[in-house]
Amino acid sequence: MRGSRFFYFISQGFKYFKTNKYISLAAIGVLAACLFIVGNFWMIYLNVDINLHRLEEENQTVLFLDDSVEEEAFPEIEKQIVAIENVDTCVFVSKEEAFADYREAYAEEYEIYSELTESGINPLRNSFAVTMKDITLYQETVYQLSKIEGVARIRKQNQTTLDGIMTVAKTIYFVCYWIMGLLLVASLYIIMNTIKIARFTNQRQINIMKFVGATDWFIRWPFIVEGCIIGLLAALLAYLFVWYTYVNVMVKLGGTIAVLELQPFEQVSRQMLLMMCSCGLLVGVVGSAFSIRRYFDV
Amino acid sequence: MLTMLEFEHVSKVYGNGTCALDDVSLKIEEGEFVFIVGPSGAGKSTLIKLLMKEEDPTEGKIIVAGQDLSSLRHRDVPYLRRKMGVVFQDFRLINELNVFDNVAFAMNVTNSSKRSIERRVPYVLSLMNLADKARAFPSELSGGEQQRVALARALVNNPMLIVADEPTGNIDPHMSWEIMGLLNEINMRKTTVLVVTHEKNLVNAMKKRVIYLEKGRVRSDRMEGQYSER
Repeated sequence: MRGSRFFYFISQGFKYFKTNKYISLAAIGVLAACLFIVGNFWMIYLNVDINLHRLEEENQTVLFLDDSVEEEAFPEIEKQIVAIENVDTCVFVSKEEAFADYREAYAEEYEIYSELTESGINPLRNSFAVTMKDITLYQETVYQLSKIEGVARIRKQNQTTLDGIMTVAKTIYFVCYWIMGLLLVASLYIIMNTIKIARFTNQRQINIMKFVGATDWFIRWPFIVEGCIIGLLAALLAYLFVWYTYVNVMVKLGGTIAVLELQPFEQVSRQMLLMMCSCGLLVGVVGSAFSIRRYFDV
Repeated sequence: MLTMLEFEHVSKVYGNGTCALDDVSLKIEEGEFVFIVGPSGAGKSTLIKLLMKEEDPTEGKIIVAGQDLSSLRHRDVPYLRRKMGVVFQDFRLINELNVFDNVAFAMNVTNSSKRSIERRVPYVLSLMNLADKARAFPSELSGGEQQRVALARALVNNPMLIVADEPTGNIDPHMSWEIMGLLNEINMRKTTVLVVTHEKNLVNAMKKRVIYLEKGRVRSDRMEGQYSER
């Protein structure tokens, strides 16, 4: 595309936006409202996700090895653990390291440890501390780990709490995905119809353009630019509303739920802005491009 | 001489069963000035629609400047239309653009450079005696002036063929003569001109080729013909 033509399309896009300003503003309002709801669900989704990741990092699963397993077999066992897709990290903890850790952690019971040390007895086992990539696949992964030869016992942590949180998280994910998806489709439909109304005012111009030999894309580009303007302005508006709502409502309400640690808005603001602009642009561009198709049959 | 336009046994039947054109065959050579006349419903508008590939014929073949329209893909239609300049009864100017921009618009569409637009548009406007109206908007012009702007827009890309659909239908008799004079001048510069009209006096006075259509068929085709000839 030639530079002059690029600027021509941009300036035409702004002209169309200005010519249809009332309909454009209505389209921005509708899209901003949809994006605002999508944005709030996205914030809920992000917070649940971040909390779940925190839980994943904190939640170590420990695989205790059978005493009969020789030291030479440890690398092979580690290899088998790492081969499981959902395993994120795997750290070998020797029985001596574990003993030292316990001694440090329970310093007040020093006497017991000193007795054991003197008699040369270490009751602890060699182990692997494993963390998982996706905690929602916890049960399946634990089952796979238990099948590795040489693993005597698996210590699962906070299983009841974990199950509860995961059920809630899965439900929230499900609801968020569906609501966000449906809202985006609905906003696309509304935008297409809103822009279609604006197209009536441009119908004559499109018709003339066709008769003087304009290609479909020559006609379409300025409308796509107009769609971009509508989408971006709606996204920025929705972003500001989500910001306000999050800081003034959600963070305050969220503070009452002990398990949920809400992130400061600044931490997710870039991600949110990117998501809003992408959705706004997508809906604006697709809505615009499709709403003028019927005028091309001239 | 190149054949500019050829209809070979062309028929057009619309979806509702109306037969607008019935086995029409005609040939127009490069540089000719031709009137298409006939009563309402004779098929004149359909003929133009087929020529612009706004509609496809039910039967027959249409060739424009050597290009068989039946083999033309949808995306190539704009390039066919760039070979023609079209003038309509209702002018079809963009009210939001001034005279210069209305004419420049046709050049923008064809990817012309800013420099060539700035050179060519004033030249065409001066040919149409519109040099002093370049900054005026269509609503500030008379019907005749608006039609001259439409003619300037049709001419600006140097088309091989000018198609005028009732170009004098919305303007006063004096202006009609002026428009016909301009079309004649354009024709003198070797551009083929095809005029669809109802204006009996103009047709009779111009002494050009006249094709008379009635009920979708060519009833007569005469050089230096008269409107009422059968």
